[in-house]
Amino acid sequence: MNGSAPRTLRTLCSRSATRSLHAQAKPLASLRAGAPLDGLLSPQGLNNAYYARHDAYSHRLQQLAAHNPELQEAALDRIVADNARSPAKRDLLASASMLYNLQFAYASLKGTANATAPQRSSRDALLRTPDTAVAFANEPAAQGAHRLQEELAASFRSLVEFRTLLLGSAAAIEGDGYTWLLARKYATPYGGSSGAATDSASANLYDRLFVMNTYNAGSPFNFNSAGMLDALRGKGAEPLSDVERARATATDSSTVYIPLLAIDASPKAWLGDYGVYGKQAYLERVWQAVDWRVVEDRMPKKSPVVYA
Amino acid sequence: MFGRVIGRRSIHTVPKLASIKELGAGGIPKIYSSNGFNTVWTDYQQYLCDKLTLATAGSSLESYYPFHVMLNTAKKPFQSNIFNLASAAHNNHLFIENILPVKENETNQPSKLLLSRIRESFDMEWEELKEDIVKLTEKKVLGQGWFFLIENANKEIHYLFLQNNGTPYYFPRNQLFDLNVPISENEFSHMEKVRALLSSATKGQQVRDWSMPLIAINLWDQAYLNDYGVGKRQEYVRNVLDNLNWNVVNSRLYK
Repeated sequence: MNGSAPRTLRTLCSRSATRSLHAQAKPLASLRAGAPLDGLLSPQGLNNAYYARHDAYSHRLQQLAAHNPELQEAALDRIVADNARSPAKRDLLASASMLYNLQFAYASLKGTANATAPQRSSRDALLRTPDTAVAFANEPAAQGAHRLQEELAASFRSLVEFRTLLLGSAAAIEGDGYTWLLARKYATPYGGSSGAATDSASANLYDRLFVMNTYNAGSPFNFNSAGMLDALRGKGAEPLSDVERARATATDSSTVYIPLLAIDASPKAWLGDYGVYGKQAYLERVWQAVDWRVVEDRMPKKSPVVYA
Repeated sequence: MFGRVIGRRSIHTVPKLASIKELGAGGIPKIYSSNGFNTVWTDYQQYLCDKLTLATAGSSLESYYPFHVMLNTAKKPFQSNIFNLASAAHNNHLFIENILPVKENETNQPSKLLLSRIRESFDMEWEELKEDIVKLTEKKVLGQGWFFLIENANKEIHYLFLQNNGTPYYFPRNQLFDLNVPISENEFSHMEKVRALLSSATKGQQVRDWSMPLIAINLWDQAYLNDYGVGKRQEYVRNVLDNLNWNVVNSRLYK
């Protein structure tokens, strides 16, 4: 039963496991350098938000992996999960994580049909009454992502609530960070994954969707870094036995979160085009620019059992 | 009797700089273009002040200066949103002050006292320390943050890299470490010390942090993105350290 623990993580990462670091570090094919991301970012804004950061992170990562063939073949999310508790590998972890997050977030943006260029917000933006409209442009269903729309309504009670939570969470990030939509794959205490122990290909069944923030180089794959401070606190007292150390460093795979969507809240994304007061305006545009079909494609199968 | 209690209500406003007109039109020579200056000061400081006004209106904090709001809320985790704004507003003012351009006929040198304190504290010259600071910037602050050179109660000089809107005035709210990535044992033991300090503080002893900032540098995107661009933060930090207003910095040192 416990033997299934490492397997679940491998399955989670397997989609990109065969791609080399070099291939993963390539800029996204869905974006064009020197062109605007219609209705969301100007060419310069896209360069600040994506290309310049992409170059910096992937350059650093290539440097760190230069003499390590194993690392060069590794998937980014694998690097993040493997090094989540290692202060000595902090640099590697941070660059892999930031690159993964960036690639992930910008892969699901396609621009909006309403292609007016972004405008800099003025001081009044702070005093604007919050929009209480319950209808808005670019619902998932409008792009044919019906399954996603149903699931969002089921997990968050309604699409409006989901949108409010998603954009509000991103607005609340003070410095750098991402807001994620995650699908929870919850393993029962009896082994196997949510509700379908008989199905061997069931590793990616999810039961509910969640919204979560990560900050700086934080990652949704760092769930196994929980308890890190306790481990450090224990360190001084008495040395850990081999078994304890193995347990402390092993990945806790009882609950795995599979990312579906990420929103970039860093000022690098919005400062240039929207100005100091413009984060809210940027976030509203991001909603309009999401390619929901990409998000739906990332969605695993639904588990028949939903946990609390 | 009641008159004294009622009556004062204030709105946080951007501090008035003497040379604001020239700065707004021409920026700060060698550091900011006019656009860059207007982003980090005219707009960003206004943004911080407005947000702080909105966050404190109607509460007892509304008549405090940002500095006092910051100290008052530093110990209250449930007022982090207010602390962040007050700390940022105060830090940004310190930062702009120590890069204000010097008048043409004015001398601009670190004082002998400051240089000797730096030598005693770091066992290196200012020029070497400067290189260290520039190199450490990218390592210590992955996201947003602040750099401070401070003088502590023992007249020693230290540098601090603060995450997001940490403050140099109060140990437990320095925010020295980024807990989104693993921390080393050294960093952890530092955190434990601060925690011990805090728990003794609840038993009646006060946290005695008499640190005073000497040099402040804004490491937020608002401070360098406009003029320097993504990935050029080190260049910007070097530029600031090369063009400090030493008269302001010298005057902050305890004599």
